[in-house]
Amino acid sequence: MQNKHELSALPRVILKGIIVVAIGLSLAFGMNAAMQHFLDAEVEAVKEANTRAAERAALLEDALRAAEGEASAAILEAQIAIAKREQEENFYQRYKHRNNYQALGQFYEMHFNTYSADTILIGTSRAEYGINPKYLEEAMPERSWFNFSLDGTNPEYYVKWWEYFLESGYPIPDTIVYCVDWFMCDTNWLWRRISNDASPSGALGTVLQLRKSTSPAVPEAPAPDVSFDAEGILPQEESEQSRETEEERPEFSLFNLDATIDYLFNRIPIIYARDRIPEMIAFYLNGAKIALPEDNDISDELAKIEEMLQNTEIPEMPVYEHERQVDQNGSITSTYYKGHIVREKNYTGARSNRTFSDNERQWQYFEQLLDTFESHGIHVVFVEPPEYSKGRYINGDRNSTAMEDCNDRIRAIAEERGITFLNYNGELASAEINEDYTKFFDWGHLNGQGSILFSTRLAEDLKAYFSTLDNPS
Amino acid sequence: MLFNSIEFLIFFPIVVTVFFLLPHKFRRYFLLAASCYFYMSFIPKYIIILLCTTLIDFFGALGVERARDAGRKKLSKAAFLVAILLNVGMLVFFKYLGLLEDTINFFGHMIDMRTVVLPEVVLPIGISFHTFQSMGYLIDVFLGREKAEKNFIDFSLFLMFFPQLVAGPIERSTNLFSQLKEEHFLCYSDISYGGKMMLWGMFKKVVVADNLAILADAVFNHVESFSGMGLVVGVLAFTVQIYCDFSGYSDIAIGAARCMGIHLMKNFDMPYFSQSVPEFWRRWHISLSTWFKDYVYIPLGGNRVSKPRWCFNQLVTFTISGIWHGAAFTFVAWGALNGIYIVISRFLKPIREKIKSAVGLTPGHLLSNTMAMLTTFTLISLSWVFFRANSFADAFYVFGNLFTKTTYDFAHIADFRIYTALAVPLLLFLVEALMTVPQVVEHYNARTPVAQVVRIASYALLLFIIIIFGAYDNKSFIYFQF
Repeated sequence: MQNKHELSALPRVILKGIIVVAIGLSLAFGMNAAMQHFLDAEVEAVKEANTRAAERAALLEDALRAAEGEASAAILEAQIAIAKREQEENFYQRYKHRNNYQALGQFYEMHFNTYSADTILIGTSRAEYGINPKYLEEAMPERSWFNFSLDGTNPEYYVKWWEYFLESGYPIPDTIVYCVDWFMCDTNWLWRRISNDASPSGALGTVLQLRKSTSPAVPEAPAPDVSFDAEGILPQEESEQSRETEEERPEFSLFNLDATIDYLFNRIPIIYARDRIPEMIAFYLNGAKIALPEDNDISDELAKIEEMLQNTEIPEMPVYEHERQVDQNGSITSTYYKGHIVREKNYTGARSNRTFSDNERQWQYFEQLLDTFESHGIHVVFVEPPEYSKGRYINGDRNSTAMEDCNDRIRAIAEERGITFLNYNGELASAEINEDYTKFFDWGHLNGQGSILFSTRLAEDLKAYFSTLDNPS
Repeated sequence: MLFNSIEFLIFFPIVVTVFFLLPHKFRRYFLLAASCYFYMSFIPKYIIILLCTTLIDFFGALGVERARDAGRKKLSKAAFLVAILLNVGMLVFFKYLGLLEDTINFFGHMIDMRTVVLPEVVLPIGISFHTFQSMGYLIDVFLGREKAEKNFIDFSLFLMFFPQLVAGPIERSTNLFSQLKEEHFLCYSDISYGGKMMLWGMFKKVVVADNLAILADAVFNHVESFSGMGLVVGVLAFTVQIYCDFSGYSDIAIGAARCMGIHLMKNFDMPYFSQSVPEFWRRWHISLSTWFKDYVYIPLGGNRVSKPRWCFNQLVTFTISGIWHGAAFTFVAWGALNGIYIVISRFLKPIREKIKSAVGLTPGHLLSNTMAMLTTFTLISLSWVFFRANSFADAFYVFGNLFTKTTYDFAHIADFRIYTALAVPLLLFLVEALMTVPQVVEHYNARTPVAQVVRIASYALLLFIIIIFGAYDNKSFIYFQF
């Protein structure tokens, strides 16, 4: 019977362990290098296509400046818009297999400006899935719309997002429809991080890499300095804390395992792009090359422009039909339209419990964001998308007034700043939407049918609102 | 912290290292502290519940034994019943309150009764496991099979020993007490075996179970989008998922304990290779099955009773087992169905033997064994439908549409995930099948240089597979809801 430690065996155990880990990790790193090379080649291919498109656009812009007559200018402007739309379509075709394509699509719009939206929406996933710009632009065609709402965003996120927005060169909108949520300041609930989006594997990071082009028409977008100016924010009061804000919780810390793991996993290609291993294998089987778009040659572009100007008809914007494409979260990628996307899930209307805990610092970020918009002369409207009225209780309490209390606070802020607040969970709630669970894919998110219904209704209300602004009585 | 987490990857080597560095007399305190830390990493305040169970059963057992030794049998029995009721009461409160509310309201609405609202309670991790473990100890003390532990630290460590704290195996005091008290020495074979078990368990959990979960969840969360082979894929995916999830966890628990020289009981013995449903239940979740056999089935009379009473005993035992697994009537149905399988299996056994001998299938014949295995596998897979389905309606939809025209919707799942989910069970099956061949095991474990190289290469390959193909969304083990 053993009566002492087998210390002589210790070196053998350790050595074997090291060998096993070394071999296993070597195989993994090898595959990681292969994946990195594949992703780099893909980015290069898209950059190549984008460069050609940008050069084509530059030629069109030159032609537009030299154009004589309104008719020629109109044709060229339409063609520029079409070129941008084609570029966006190429981007969609390249990235449609990714999860959460809508984030990619939104950051693409931010940096490549297909639509030059003068009215944008920001908010959480409830607006992302719930508001389709198509119905807004049908009701108000004089405005150009884009939905920049993203799942998990809180006010802090948008404070930092705004910095990237400004740096991108996107035209400052004249109106922002801020889709508020009563729980928007609960960082246990909403904790999207711009740092994750800006990492190489993130949607923003992917688009920023694309912008690193040699074409002068698409200048390199520098990463903005998003170090936060704390002067405008009150010191954190000692109160019950929900999850830390991004400032409180650094991107990487040896003492914070969650942050460290997120940081590492977002930067190791073989982990974050694992689902693309079959594509990677196909890439290497094809001789490690990615095919470029067929119309990549622009040497005869000038001739094409000349020919175009011979016509008198203004070319129409192409309409693309997309094959059904669904991502791992159930979002139907093929329904993507100007930032909006549809998700379908079977929802039976069952009530579920949510814990709720406000983070005071997020309210401060909210106010700071509104100050920022005001300083840019942007008009703001608050919209709270509807939720299923019997879908949830808060902190186990069926009679919780958390929603009403938070909405009262939002209303007070709105009144103080002269902002209109369209609350579709309060005075504007309707039985047709709020009491019909078949319009939702869970208690808080509208499904496809629900988003059409709500978007149509919102369009009417916003139209009426904007008309009172334009024609004050 | 979950076993498949970076936290555990850091926690465990530190605990093992400190464990062996400490003098034996301090080890129990250190292990207890480490176990408390492990449990508190889930919901810190729920350590109070564990502490309550520990106090109830520690003093309960002492009271039972002392009263019995003093000749006060009625007091002894009363102490025993109070302690058991308190244990069961805690389990009912934390786990079954929601089910109780739904049941009351279901029948109450029939008589126009007002809706009853009971408080919502968060389920403490592993409550079913440690409650059963401590109840088993109490029953053994009451029946005189075990002496009451007089050292509170030793008893606490028996209940809270972290490798098996939250999802078993449900250990018996006769196995674990003595091991926790004796001095253990660093042993190459223990470390080697423990490491292998943990690696293999991680593969089963993170690679096989979590990838299959993607398919199973897709089907069972939207059954109406599937029919025919689509449903078959979902059922088979869950069948393998639940085995790999739970046996993977057990392997990690057994391996972790073994590194410290502690032998936990085997919990799974390749159950899907069973040739009958009774055999399956001797090889599946062995610690729980034997618990129910020793503390429910045998006290009811076991098989030493009339046939009708035996049937009743089996049905009650398996129905209670179903209730233990989940706070929903679908789990009850699952348990009852397995009880029915056992009963029918016994009555059909003579008929099966007659048929086999009539067609010339001798016992042990490959065809006979294979058919028996496939039949058992099919029956068990079908019973898992109740276990996994979100409702009876969903379960009956699955049964009613298994053999209809195939429809499926896996469009939202990346091809890579589907290929992985379909391929890794084959790898698992291959390895487990090879492990049943003695010559293969002998060559694999040989002390020759070639065998050593093969072993190291296989571990490295397993590690590589875990890193590349593992699903890292921190999915809790299925049995965590218990």
